[in-house]
Amino acid sequence: MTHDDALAIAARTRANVVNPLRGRSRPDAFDYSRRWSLRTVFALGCVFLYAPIVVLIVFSFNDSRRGGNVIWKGFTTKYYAKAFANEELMLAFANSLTIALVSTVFAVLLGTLTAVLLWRFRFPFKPLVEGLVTLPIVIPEICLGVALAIFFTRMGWMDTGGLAWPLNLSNITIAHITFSFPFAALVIRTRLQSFNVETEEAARDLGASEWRVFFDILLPHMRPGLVAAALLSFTLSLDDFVITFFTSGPNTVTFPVKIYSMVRFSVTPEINAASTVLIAITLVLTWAALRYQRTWKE
Amino acid sequence: MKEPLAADDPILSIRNVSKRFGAVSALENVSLDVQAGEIFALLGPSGCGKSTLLRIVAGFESPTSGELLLDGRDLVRLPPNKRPINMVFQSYAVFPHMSVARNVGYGLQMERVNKHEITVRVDEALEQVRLGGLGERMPDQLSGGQRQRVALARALVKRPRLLLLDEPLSALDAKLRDAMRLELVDLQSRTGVTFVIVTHDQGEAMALADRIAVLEGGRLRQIGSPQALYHRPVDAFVADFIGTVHAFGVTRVERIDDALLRVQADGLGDLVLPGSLPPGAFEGGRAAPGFKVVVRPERIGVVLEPPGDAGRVVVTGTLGDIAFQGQHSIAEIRLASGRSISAVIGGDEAAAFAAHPIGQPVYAHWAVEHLALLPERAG
Repeated sequence: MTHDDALAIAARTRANVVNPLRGRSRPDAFDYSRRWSLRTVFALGCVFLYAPIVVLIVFSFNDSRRGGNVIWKGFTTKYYAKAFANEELMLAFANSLTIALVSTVFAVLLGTLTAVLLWRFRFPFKPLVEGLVTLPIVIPEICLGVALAIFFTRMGWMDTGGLAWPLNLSNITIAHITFSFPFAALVIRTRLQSFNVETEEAARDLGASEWRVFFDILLPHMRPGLVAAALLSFTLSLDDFVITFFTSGPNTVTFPVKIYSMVRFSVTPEINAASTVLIAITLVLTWAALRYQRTWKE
Repeated sequence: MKEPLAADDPILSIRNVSKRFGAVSALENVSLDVQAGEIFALLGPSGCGKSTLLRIVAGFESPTSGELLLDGRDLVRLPPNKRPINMVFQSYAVFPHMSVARNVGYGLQMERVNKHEITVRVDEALEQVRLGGLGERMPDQLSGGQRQRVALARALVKRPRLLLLDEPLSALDAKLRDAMRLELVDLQSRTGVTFVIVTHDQGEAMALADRIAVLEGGRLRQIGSPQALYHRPVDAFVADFIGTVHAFGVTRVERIDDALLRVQADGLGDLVLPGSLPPGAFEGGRAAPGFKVVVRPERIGVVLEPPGDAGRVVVTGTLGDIAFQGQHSIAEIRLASGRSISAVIGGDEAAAFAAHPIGQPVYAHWAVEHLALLPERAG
């Protein structure tokens, strides 16, 4: 403390300045749950968000062939059996999982490299590159779908039905990587913002080469971001309809596209059942990822 | 075979180092030597270039020009991971995903030291910083002070030629800071490693360092022991940075003989000071602009009656506030010119003055030899 500070404090004490911390604070203004209006809004929000999903799941057990989502006719699991016995549906499902897995691996890989590039280095036209990377996120999906369809047609890559698995899915997979890697890059880059650059310098100081720094220090820090990016890419790919619709051929149908074609005739409980399975898979994956992140943190 | 180093050969030699970031000059022509086994402090206000200099020594920045020698060998071309120098970062930079033992062992692992030796040396280093038995803890289970010890152990376990510490005490609370200060000095004498410390806190530098380099605006102002900087500052900036001084503008300087000067200072009148004329102070009977006479508050006495003894500078004023500091108090004296100066007075005196009202006429006085004629900025 300098002499000036000490004297200023002495002057304040002498002037008997009132302590601003004195007096009791008012009741908490942020106590939302006590207000009925806010409770109502909250309840309505929940209803609009979750009621459709609950209806979907409940009516997947409805024992009714037609108008399956209107009148409850009794409990059955036969539509699950029917869905699993539907070979076309199962093939579409397998296709979706394959595409999702492969595109996730590539999206996270590309996303990591992009994020590190944008975070770490300075280079000419960097803002332009940043803009281009995020472009697939803001471009309407329908435009990206049409663009990719034209691209693959010109390349002669559209009719992949004759190729062996999983190459027959290559064009859809590439399309999925295109739109999901910017999301992965964004998530990983956000994670990198919280990186303490001094830890990197400390590792260098202790004798680590740049590669060792990347694998020993940077990668472990990015890990939660990588998991989140993978989860995001996987679910984006699994339920993508628009872009897939434009790039899939007659023999390379994915799950959402197949469901769409089934819905065009009628919404049967079979579709409910298949959708419920998809929801279950997504939930299990999310749970696993969260659990993994928590154990890693401990 | 290597020639044994002479006793006064510096371990680190910084020669004419300059650093520019674009148009901004962070360091200008800084030269200094660090001797083996000492605690050397780089002291200055924020933005003075001290951290840049430390980062140049560590290898995270390269100098725009100048030389860097460690044990007489060129250092500039070596990347940070090849320098026998380790650093304790301001944020400690403990690796959050590694246990304490793995943190400390990381540097040895990079040297490909065998596993058994790593275990032994890590335990030894942890004992040294009094963290024995905490090797399995994760960093988020440690306090700030403990994390700093991990960073210290992690650097010292490599047995570096030089240990760099960036603001080592700034993040600790007051009590811990005093304890850590003693411990750093102790650690230095036990390990014999040369410490280079960056700090903006003059008290910290004075208490820790054998020698201090004061930097300001990218320039080296003065190097010396804490005593030398306190008693013989080269300019008013150093005098005010190391402790506190009250400066008075000088209008006339005259040389009486080799040991005496006649000085006319604002608010102090005509004075005869012991001392010789500083270079540049004399311009045809007038003081060059930018010269000051300075006095430290701890040299100033305050009395109610005019002090009779000759050879003392006396100024009249009125009593202002008195700030109680424990062992001593700081009294404010308002001078006729409108400015205030402070004086450090004893507890008994303070108690006596407390009985007098603010505005009580008083006399501030000090021995004439405690007044120093200094340029505002040397060099």
